[in-house]
Amino acid sequence: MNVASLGIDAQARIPRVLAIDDSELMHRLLRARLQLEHVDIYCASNGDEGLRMAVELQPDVILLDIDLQGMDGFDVLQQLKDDARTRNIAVIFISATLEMMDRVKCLDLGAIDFVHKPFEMAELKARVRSALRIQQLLRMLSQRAQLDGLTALWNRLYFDQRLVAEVSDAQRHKRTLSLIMCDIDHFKTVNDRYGHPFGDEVLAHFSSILMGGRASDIPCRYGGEEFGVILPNTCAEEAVEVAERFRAAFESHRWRRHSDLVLTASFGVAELASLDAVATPADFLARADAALYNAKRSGRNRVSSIARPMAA
Amino acid sequence: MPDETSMEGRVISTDTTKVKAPLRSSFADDPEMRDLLVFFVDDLGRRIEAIRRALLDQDRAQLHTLAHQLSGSAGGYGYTSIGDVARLLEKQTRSDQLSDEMELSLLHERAEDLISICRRAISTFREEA
Repeated sequence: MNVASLGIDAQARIPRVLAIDDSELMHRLLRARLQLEHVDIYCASNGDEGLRMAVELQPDVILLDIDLQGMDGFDVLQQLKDDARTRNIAVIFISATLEMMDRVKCLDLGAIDFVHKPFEMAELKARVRSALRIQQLLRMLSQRAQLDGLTALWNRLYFDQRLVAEVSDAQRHKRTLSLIMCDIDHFKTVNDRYGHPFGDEVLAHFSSILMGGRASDIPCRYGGEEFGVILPNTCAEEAVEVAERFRAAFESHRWRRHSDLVLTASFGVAELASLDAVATPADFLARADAALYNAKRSGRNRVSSIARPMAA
Repeated sequence: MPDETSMEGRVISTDTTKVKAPLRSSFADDPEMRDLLVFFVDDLGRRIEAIRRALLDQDRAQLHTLAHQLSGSAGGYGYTSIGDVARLLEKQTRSDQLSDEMELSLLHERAEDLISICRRAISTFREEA
């Protein structure tokens, strides 16, 4: 499966390490010593700067000096863990004065590890590597929980969350947003006639077509043979074009073991701007569903979009 | 603990023979560390000045910062003994320390110790350069 097309950039990015320490001596040292570890290292001199950089840079690991001036390391850790944007960053505490109870406090606050200062570079490197490994596994796990097992598209859980986020984002920034809901025509008949293994092959192929669309679009398996594609910064006309390409690609596919079989799918397109300003994600989804219903009712294998809400 | 800080850190800072004893970084022969050591030794020079100023101003917080920064990082530059001496000054400048006359004189001693060991590192480094 093409991981990059799902917007998973974890594997491609060079890991980022943010050091929050009030000593320029330490910054230089860490920069020089960690550069061979294939990480990008960033440095902040105090808690405020560190918190700001953590949000901006989204580092994988933070090396946090506990004896900071002003806001101390405990406060910084607390704030990192209180903010959803920085909560999942692995924090390694560094301190010269860690009493046992401080170490307990660090770990209870959510730090992943701690290093005693002065530290041996070999030890620090090993702890950074270990934290990066754990981070990568956690990220894989959380992605796995959001991916559909059969098609490798985002699953329903992810779709629901992402739709809420994109609707709120579009409304806040006055951006356009479109949604395609689609459904493979007569899929139940395909399953009954050719068996479930072939049905799975059909689902997988249809998914690969959705995945081959524009990089910014977000294809998800909504459930069964139904799919949803979220299209940020896209108006209805463009979304219809995208859907039409999906439709044509699916219809023209020749199936290896059933060469005369032609399968089709129906598509419903909705644009957020065509709803009123207080429209909810559920309204938006209902609109796209209504368009899909229109496409089905008017003969299937087509793309339909609705300008206004249908009369009840 | 290096010998110049034995006797619980009481050092006679006028002992000039100690000032002349060489003090090398344990990374002095590591070419990768070359630029870093230049930076570190330059910083030591500026830091001595800053410590002197903070002593004159009786600025405990500033002394604490200067010592703290050094105590954490000197070891990483191969100067473990500088880190040890800096740590003694760092402890002595904690805000919860009483500041009676005896304590003040101890604080001055710790600061002079740190200045002295930093000077040794600087002169050794410059001689080898």
